[in-house]
Amino acid sequence: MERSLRAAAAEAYSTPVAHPVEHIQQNWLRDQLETKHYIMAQTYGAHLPMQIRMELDIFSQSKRLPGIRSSNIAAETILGRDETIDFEDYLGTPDMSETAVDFRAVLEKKYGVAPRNPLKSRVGGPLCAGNEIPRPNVAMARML
Amino acid sequence: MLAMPATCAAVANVRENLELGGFSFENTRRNQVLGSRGIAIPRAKKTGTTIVGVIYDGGVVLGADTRATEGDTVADKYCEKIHYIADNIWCCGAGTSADTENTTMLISSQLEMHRMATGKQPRVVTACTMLKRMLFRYQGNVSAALVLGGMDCNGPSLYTVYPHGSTDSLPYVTMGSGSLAAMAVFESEFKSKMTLEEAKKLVHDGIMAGINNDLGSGGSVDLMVINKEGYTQMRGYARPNERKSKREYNFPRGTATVLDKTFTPSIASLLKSGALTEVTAMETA
Repeated sequence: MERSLRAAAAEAYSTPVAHPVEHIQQNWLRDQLETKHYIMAQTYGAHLPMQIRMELDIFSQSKRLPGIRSSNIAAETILGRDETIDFEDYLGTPDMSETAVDFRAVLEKKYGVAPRNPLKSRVGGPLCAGNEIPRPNVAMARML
Repeated sequence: MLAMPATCAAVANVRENLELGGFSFENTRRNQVLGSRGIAIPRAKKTGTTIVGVIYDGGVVLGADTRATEGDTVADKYCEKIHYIADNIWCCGAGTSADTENTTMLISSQLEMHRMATGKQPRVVTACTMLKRMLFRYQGNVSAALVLGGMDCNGPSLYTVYPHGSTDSLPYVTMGSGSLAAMAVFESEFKSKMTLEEAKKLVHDGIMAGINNDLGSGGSVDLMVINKEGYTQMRGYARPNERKSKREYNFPRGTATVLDKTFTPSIASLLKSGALTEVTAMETA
């Protein structure tokens, strides 16, 4: 019996990795860093990768609003990515995405202020139907 | 024992933190769905090329054929396979042409940034290392087989780079489906410390062996000479397969009978000549 198109599509699109290169792309930079830091720890002592990771952690915290690409200049500098270029830097970057980012939703999630009831997506309390500006991908109170 | 700091979020999510992109696999998933429905997905086309390089007394001569194929079809009879890396380094590409072109373009950019950082003329080994690291990372999925040649502070050097990231450093090299034909010529004719003219002839003969004996290669012979004076490109150095003649069609006037002849002037031309004013034109439109 042939599966339905919907079932086949659901299976394909829920597979985390569809191609060997996708796996390489997702994990290579992280694995390379882990190896590099392991060697650093063995050679110079654990303090060196600890310090670099602490710096990386700090530098990863300041960001522009979601949907605007951050320069990440400090993080790129300590990773040595500032003086080189790779496929990841110019192919399919998130700021060139075809779908718009709902930056309010991303910020609400980031700062842990997402309302339990998705209809009350403003932090200040329940919405008044009709006076809210419609936003993409967000259910609005007036629709009910 | 191992003293290693615990994995931190900044390292674990380094891709997300740096907002990196990369190759898109949307179509891979779509093809999986189509494949599971019994629709045959087209297979990758066969590639074919002859590319070579020779070290001579004062530099390097690179050579390539000019045929681009997609399976049995010749897609381009006169394509360029010798790509720019830097003013003193050039690279011949065999394999998937999009992969070889984008690989050499990426390494060219990386090397230029490296040149700006160091303030020195880039070395051929540097380009070779950048290439092999990138290709090894993609485990042969970037289909680029290259001949890299150039001139730097250590004199002339020549490398072959395989799609999986292995490299050879040799005085004479060949790559692509025509590599066997070209290498047969090189093995019998190569001498060390050749003059430029001898080297150009040897490279020409190697590429001609590929053009004439390998079905994946053809077209013309392109040469590139790199020495301490700079580079000299010789596009179409030999053109053994030029079309002998083009058929000419000379039909006498009136061969095709004119059935009707009407002329309707455009509104724009009427406005320009003053035969029509704006207002009447708008009414007409």
